[in-house]
Amino acid sequence: MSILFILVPLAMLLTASAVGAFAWSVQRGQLDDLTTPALRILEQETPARKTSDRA
Amino acid sequence: MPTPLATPDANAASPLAPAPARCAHCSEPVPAPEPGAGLQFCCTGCRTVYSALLENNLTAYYEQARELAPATQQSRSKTRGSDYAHLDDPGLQELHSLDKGDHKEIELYLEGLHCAACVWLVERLPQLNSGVHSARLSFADGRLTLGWFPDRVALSQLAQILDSLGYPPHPAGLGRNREQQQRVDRTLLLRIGVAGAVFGNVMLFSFALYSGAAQGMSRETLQFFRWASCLLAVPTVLWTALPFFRGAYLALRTKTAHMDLPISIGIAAALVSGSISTLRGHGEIYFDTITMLVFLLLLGRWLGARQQRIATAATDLMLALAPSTCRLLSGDTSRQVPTASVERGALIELLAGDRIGVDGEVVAGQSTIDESWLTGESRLLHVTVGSKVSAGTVNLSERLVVSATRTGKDTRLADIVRQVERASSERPPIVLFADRMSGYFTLFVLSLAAFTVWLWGFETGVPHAVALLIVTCPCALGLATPMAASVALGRAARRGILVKGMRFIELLAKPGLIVFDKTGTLTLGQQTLVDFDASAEIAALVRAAERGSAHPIARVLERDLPLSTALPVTDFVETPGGGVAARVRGRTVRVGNAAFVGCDVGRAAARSASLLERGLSPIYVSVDGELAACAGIGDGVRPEAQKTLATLRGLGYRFAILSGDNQAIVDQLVAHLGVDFEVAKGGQSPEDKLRFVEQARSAGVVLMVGDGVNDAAALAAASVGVAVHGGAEASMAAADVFTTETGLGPIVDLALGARRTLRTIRLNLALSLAYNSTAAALSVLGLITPLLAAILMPLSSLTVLLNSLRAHTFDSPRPSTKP
Repeated sequence: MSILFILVPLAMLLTASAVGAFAWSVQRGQLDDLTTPALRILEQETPARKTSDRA
Repeated sequence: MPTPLATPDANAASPLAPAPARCAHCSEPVPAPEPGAGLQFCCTGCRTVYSALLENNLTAYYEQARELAPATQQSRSKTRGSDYAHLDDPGLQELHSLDKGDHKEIELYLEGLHCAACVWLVERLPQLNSGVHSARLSFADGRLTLGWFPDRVALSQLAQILDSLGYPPHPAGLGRNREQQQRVDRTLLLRIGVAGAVFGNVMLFSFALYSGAAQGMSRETLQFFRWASCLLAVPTVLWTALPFFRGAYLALRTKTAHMDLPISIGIAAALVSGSISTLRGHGEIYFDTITMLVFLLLLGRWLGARQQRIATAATDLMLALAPSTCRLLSGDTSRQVPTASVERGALIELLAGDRIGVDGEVVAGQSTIDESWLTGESRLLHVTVGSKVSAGTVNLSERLVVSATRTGKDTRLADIVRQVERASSERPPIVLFADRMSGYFTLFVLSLAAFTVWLWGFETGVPHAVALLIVTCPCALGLATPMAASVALGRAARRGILVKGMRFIELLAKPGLIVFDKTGTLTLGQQTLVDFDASAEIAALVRAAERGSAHPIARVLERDLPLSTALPVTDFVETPGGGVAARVRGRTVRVGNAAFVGCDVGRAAARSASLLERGLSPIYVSVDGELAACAGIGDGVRPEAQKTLATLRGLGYRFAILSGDNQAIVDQLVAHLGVDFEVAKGGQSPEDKLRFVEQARSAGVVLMVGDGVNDAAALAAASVGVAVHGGAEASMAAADVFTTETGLGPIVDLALGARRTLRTIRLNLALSLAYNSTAAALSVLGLITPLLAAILMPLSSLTVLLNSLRAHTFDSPRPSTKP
């Protein structure tokens, strides 16, 4: 059971880094807008660019 | 008796018209298709957008639009055609933009965003102009963050591009308010993240403790997990639960009941007793339960705040559309300046369709003015040199030059805005049902705890009492209202009903007195052809003759008369203040007032008198010198009004009507609608409306439904103010609810949806109380174990959550309000 004395602090460390990453993304405003990114992913790379390449 | 009123969309219903050509941009029917042209456009705005996209190889927009939003129609292009010169004003840029080193950044509200393809198009802005650094759009609140290089391009040029694409931009305040709001939002989100992570980990430790207790675990290991839970939970709960402690402190200080009070007592009891148990090395720690509770409560709070923010953002967008600029005339040229900077005596140029920003006197031109938003008077006003005009009214037909007599804070409009502020500050606060209950709840739990100590004696009684405080901590109770309300408000928002706070749900669910404004609420609020008494042949002649005129009456006639094949028109002559004359298919057609049509109108005297009595303006038509028709133009009754009122009456509402129009018109409307109105008053000033609402409020819930500036103060004073679509900015800011859908249908939705939501909230409260009383009974008897508490708590919250999601609040089909 003494393995727990290493594993539990290790798990805490992982949690702390995850919370840190979350805090970083919140402070950078990545979670301010939860609607538009969901729409943005639907966009296809523009076929218009292809035509302009050909032109 | 009034004749049945014609529906305004008579042209759409004409079965004989051939399938009309569709506009290549917005897919609306093209009124006058060009023969032979491949692509048809309904208006020059749409044509401009199309060619702008074509030039820049961005026609893929149409494919995107078809794929991403096949059901939504492109809105007709809203292009405003302004030069946006005011955006280049250094003062404005100082105020609204941020300096980012090589480029500047500004936030703009965009009108006309409707689907995912708009996101695509607007974010291609750097492709359209090399002076653009970046363009990021937040679709939910219509906000564009635009970065641009001031040395390469002027902001006004970019604004013109956006405008030509059909998204007129308006600077959004990048003020301190927004930054502060953002900081609050982000802190709340961070609290949720921390609370969630801690809750997950503490739960794992608790699993170890529970299974250790069952299977036998060494004292050291048990103590190790206790300490790990304690060290993790105590500091984080103290920080994450801060909003609840703060709320409880405020409630205590102001001696009001609030849900935060019992929540804080539970949290504090758990933290203290858990820490003592950890130090003593035996006893229950409860950290798993308490971390989960904080996490769920924060989540509920965040969801509620988010709905409120969406509604506020939508209002902000509407407010940004206010006429903040006007054309200042100096010599022969005019330039756009902020309205606030206009001084007394300045000459302002007003084109057709412009909202007037100052009170003033006409010094050149004559035109028609629509004052309905300011006064509620639906009849159009003819103005000429010397007439007075007020801020907030709309110039409809011709160019006017106005000399400003009162500006800014002195205008009638500003007066009304001040009244709105006073009315809303004097409104009694709303105490939620759940908060009222939490007072009794706290008292009950505390006396039960005292009873437990008395029952068991101090030694065993105290641990039992602490267990009681923790397991009855009203997690589900605290979630019951925000969960049900935020789910419901989110659904309502998707249906175009924006409610600025969940506290209004409770008031909306109670039947009370609905006070309607007339113009724009029960009626359409715009000029329509209400009554036409001649054959389709005459209608076709009138339509052809009116096509060449820009006068508002002519536009109404052309729009509302049935579609017909184009007839050749010659000898078109328009007489200002008279009417139009033309030869159509060899016949002389004259349309206008009685003096203009040039024939004996005595035959129609009775008819025109009845039209006038109904508040309609009679328009005469003569064909070859013979009186052929007498049309009634005015503010038509909404087709769904009668049905909507009947539905609301069935729900137990009572009605009143307060209008700025004269009493005879109000009486006619009441007779036409055939519904009982407790009060039906005409000639009401904004002050009269405010007084009426303030008095009626003492007798019960008052819903005020209106759209104009003249309703704004009453909207702010009412228990719930509802502003309907297309209303004035001041009324939207003052209202608690506003709809983005036209018509009265949303009011019925609102009443029904609020009732269903309140039922869901009540069921939630009942469920969580049932859980809590079970837990309370068990702990008084000393039967509660930490494991049982850990199971009961999430179960009650989960029930509340599922019940809120399951409830059909705003989703069920609306009872048809179409006649």
